[in-house]
Amino acid sequence: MNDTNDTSQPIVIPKSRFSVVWLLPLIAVIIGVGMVYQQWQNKGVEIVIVFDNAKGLEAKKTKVKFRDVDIGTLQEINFSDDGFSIEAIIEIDKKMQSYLLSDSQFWVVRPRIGSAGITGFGTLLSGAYINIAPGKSESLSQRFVGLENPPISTPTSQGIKLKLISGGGKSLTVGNPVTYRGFEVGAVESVNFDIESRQVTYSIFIQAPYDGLITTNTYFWNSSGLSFAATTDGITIDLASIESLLSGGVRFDVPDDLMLGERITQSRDFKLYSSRASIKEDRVYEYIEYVILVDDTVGGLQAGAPVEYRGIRIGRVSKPYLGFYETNQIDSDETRIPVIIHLEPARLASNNEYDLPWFNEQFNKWIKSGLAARLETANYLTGTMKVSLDLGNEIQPEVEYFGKYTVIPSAQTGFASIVSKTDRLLSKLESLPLNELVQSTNTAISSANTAILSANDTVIATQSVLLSVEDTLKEASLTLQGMQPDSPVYLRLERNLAELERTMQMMQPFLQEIRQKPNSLIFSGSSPADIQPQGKGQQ
Amino acid sequence: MQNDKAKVASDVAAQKKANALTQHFQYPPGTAAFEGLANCRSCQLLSDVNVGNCPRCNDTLYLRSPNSIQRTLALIITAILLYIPANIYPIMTTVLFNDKTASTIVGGVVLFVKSGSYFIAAVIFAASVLIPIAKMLIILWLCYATSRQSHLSRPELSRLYRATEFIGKWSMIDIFVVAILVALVHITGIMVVEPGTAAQAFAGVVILTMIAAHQFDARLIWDKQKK
Repeated sequence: MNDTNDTSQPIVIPKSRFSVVWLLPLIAVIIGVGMVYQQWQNKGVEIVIVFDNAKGLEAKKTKVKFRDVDIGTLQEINFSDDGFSIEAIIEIDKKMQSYLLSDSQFWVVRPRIGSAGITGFGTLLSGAYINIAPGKSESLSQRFVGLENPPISTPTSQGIKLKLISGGGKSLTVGNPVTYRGFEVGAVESVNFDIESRQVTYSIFIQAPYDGLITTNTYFWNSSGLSFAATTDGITIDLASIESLLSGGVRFDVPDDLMLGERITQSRDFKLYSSRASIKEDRVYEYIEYVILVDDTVGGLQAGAPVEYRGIRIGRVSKPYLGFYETNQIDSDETRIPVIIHLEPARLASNNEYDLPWFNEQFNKWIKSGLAARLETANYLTGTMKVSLDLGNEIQPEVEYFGKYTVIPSAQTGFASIVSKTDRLLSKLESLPLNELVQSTNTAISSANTAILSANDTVIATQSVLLSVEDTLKEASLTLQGMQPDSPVYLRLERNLAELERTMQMMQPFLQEIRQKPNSLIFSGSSPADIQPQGKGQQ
Repeated sequence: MQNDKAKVASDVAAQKKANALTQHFQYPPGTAAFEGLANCRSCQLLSDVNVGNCPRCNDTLYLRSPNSIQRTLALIITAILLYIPANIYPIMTTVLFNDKTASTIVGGVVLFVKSGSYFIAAVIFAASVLIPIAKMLIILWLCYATSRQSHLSRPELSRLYRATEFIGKWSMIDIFVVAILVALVHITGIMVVEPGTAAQAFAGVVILTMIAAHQFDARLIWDKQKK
């Protein structure tokens, strides 16, 4: 409508004006440009994380989360150049860029069933995601190596990392708990095997504030499962938590006989003992070696058995028997059994402050003044022995040496001496002339037998005599029956006796006369006048 | 927009009034415009354009809708601009057990083809890709054809125009599907359908093309076919 030309009339042609409606596409363009700009502005930082495999990862879907907040998305999964791993190309939100430090850790969170229970349960439905634990390094990075398992500790976690060295086999796995008196205070972070030293090293992490429990005198032991030990202390059953029974764990503590020691702030190595009991046995002390030359048996004496001085533990048996060859090397005539013991002065010093040479000198002094060692039964149930030291031997002028070892004189007491005494008793019993004794006893018994036989005859004869005596007695009884009070014989006898009495009474004056004048029988003289009773009135 | 329209209308009306007496001679003979008769846009009353305002409803009288092509073009360009995000952004996000799946229009079509649902794929493809694009292209062509010479005859162009008006509304099928799904499938935690940015952009495309088609004054087709 712009080019209508009419030459006859000048026509004012209205300039085609722009309609206001053009604002609409303009606004659309502005909005579009704005969106594109914002998109570009918000475009995240691209990073690469190398994983072993892409299990659970999905391009454009898998999120990167920090404290469960989405901070990025997996864009692409590629193989690495060597083809042995995968590279996850991830876009991280721009504002989270500061978390991409060179020691930041990434790992895939997926459902895991472990000793500590089921983790990552939520990812069953939502799918795996990549978690980030920011580091504390100064430098940013764009390429990371992802962890296969969630880390026990992150660079920012508070606590202490320690290394445990174990000579035994692998008994712990990553994630096993570290407990202190039942509290879970950390976990095993990694397990490595050092080929050179042929030792298993466990890296463990103790969370703050429990890291304060680790001191120079802390001892770690493996609490895997159930330990059953028959030691000189009796039978011990040690069971940690059920969890560690199933999967193992590490426990630590400061032994009762040690001071706490200084707190450890720097990572360092510790020995991992196989059990709590083995700490006591295997704990490394500074020691002085001595030898005891034992006359009799060393049966029941084990390496590690206690050496006590009047009940105080001062050392351990190093070798219950030095070895035939070594013994011969030192002294080929020696028939006694050399028992090597370690005396550990550290056990006597409560504060780990002691002087080894001083102790040695002091000990030699004691040996001179009569220190003696003897083997004693430590536990009658298990029959284990211990070495007991006590004074009471005869004073020695000089300390003896057996090879390089100082000799502690051996004394016989305790069970060993009981055994030897019993032995002597038995041999004495054996030497008794029992046979002859038995023989003579035998003859004595047989002669006694004949005596008894003849006695038997006598008894039979006696028996017949007794029978006749019985008859006699019966007869006597019959006879005596006639003599009873109401029997005629008795009555007669009584009468006769009464008559006799009367007669005797009648004869009394006669007899009196005869007594006074015995001749009156022959010379019948006048009988003296009867003595008249004289009274005052008649005279 | 109504204000803009009114303002534009009044501005144009002022100019038109100035040239009203001569203006109608531009139109080809045989048209009402050539006779100086204008159809009221509001009440369809045919009256002399020189009267200025409709004697019945007092609306301003125009021989042809002013700036019709400009408006149509502006709206179509806006629609084309909106059609870009409508295809880039996901139209719908399905959350199934925390597993988010965002699908764009074309992505949805591909998905249905892959799963063997060819009919649904065809419907979506027609409604979301073919029809809007066709409509926008036709309107652009009409704008071009009315301002320049065209080899197409008047009835052919008219048929095209009517076709755009007819098919345009079917594009809304996509938006309805999304709206219904969002309303129906909302089982929190198990399955949730969320509308995407593209849904709004696409709705904008459909609405804008409809308005553009409406804004196009079909009589312009006939004006240019005088020769």
